[in-house]
Amino acid sequence: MDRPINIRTSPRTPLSLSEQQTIKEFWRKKQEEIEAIEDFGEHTIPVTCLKKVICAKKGKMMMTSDTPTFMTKACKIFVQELSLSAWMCANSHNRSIVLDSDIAESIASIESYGFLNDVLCAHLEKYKSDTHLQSIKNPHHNRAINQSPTYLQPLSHQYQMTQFIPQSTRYCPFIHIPPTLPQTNDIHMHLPLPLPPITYMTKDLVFFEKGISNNDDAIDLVTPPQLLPEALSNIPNKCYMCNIASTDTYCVGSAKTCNFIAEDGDMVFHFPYVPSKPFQLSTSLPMTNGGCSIYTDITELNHIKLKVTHIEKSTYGINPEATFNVIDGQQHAGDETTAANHMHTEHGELDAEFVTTTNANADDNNINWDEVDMASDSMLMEFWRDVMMKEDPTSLPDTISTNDTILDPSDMLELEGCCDDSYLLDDVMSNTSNDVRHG
Amino acid sequence: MGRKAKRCAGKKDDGREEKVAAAPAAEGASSSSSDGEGAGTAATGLPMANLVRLMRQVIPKGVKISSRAKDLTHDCAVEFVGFLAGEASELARAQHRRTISPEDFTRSLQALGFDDYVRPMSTYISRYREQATSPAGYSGGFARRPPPRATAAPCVSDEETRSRVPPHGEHGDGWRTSVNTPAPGGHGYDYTSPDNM
Repeated sequence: MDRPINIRTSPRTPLSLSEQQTIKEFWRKKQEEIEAIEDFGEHTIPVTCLKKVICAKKGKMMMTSDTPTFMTKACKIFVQELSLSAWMCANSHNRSIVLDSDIAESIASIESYGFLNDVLCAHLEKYKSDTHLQSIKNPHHNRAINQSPTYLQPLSHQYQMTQFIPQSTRYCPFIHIPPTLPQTNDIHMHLPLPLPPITYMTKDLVFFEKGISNNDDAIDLVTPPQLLPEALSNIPNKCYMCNIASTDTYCVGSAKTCNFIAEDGDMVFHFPYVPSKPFQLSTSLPMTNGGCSIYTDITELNHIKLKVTHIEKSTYGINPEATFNVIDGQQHAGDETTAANHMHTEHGELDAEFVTTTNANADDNNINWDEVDMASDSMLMEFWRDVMMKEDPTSLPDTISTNDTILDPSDMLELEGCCDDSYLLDDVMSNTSNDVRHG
Repeated sequence: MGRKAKRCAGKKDDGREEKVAAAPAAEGASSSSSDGEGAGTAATGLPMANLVRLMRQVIPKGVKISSRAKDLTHDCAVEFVGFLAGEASELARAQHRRTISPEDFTRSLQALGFDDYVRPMSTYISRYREQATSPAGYSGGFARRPPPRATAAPCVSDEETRSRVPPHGEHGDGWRTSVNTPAPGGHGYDYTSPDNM
């Protein structure tokens, strides 16, 4: 609003003096006219029309009879003053036609006419919307407009442009464009599978593989390399064995037990097997004689053969079963029986212990030499050569016959055989009880 | 000169018609103005022809007025009258009076910034009332219907006599000045002396 007012007021400054003079003259003339009036009956504007306008505004109040005539005079002066100022504006623009824009300028210049701004806006809106209608209804006006297009069109546009500026300024502060918030798309992160389960699975697989290897394959693969260093270490033992049999057997026995434990760490069967060793040694001590030594040699040779077959066929150091397999020719059956014994928990252990103990009782010397042979492979080769050199047909069938008598019956029969010797049974019971306690 | 006399005669005829029959003349004027001008004025509007006549009294003869300017002037005049009426009614209510008087309008003009209007309008209303007091003798006659018409007739005769004076004034500048100067002075003295007494 400030800018258009400044623009309008600036061109009128040079004419202010002349305008003021003309205005003063105007009011002087009006004063003189009023003083000169002698007939108040003359009214250029009808009183009835003014009454209607006034009644529409004042409401239900009454007014004196003097009021309409008073208002007609006031309205007359207003119209003449307005038209005079409009003409002055037109004259300043060097035009001989008074336009609505001139009236607008005069209204803007006079402060007391501020209430007419609304009328101006309504006036503009009328002509904007009704231009076509007026053109159709009033052909004469069209001709008049056509006669002087240069004066009307550009000025009307300028006036409209000037009017648009305050409107735009007025509306600008009211226009609040809401800021559009950007749409944030929530990205759903796919949680990866937890690593621990994978590691757990891998661990399970490894454990399973270990189990398989422990049960079957690992023993076959591990036994040869473990035996070789033992064989090397046991070579000097041979010399000691020739000198002192009891001590050597004890040491070898302990080593053997250690080997089994190392090979089958998961197995519990071998732990109770350790205390059975000293029992065997104690039994073998009183049996140590020169003749016995020869017998042991013979049995040793015989057992060497059996041991060779034993080692080749079965992985466990259970003599009677191995010998039974060799004699009967049922190698597969033996393997199955060993597997069954292995699978059993308590009964299997007890049966195995009884079997070992019965064998020990029957052939103490044989068992001792068997242990020695199992401990050392190189010794076995040497004994094998000795056996080939010293083959005696009579000795072999004797050993075979003794084995048949012992192994023909089942485990129960073997136990019945043990029942004959009350003293030995008592020892066996004590050993089994000790084993159970340890187990 | 003869042409000018003819134009004046035309104006006289228009005035006579209006005076003879105020109501029908007003209606006719409004209808004729609406038809002739083609401007869509409201029922409460003012006659356009009369407004144009008032405008041309002030503007030099060679100046033209556009139709838009006429419409805008009409709207401004209606707004002016309504605006003053609203202010005057508020003043009357503030003083707890139910009747609006010209003094209320004068005060509203002064309050709204139309200081230039105050002096001529106050002079007008005082002279109007003085004129009204002179027909006080005819108050008995107003009761009857025929008497108003009779009173109207002498008004017309007065206008005729007054209308004759301007052409004489127009003919001679010296005569105009000589005639105008003593008349208002004399009248002024006559009116002022009764007020003083």
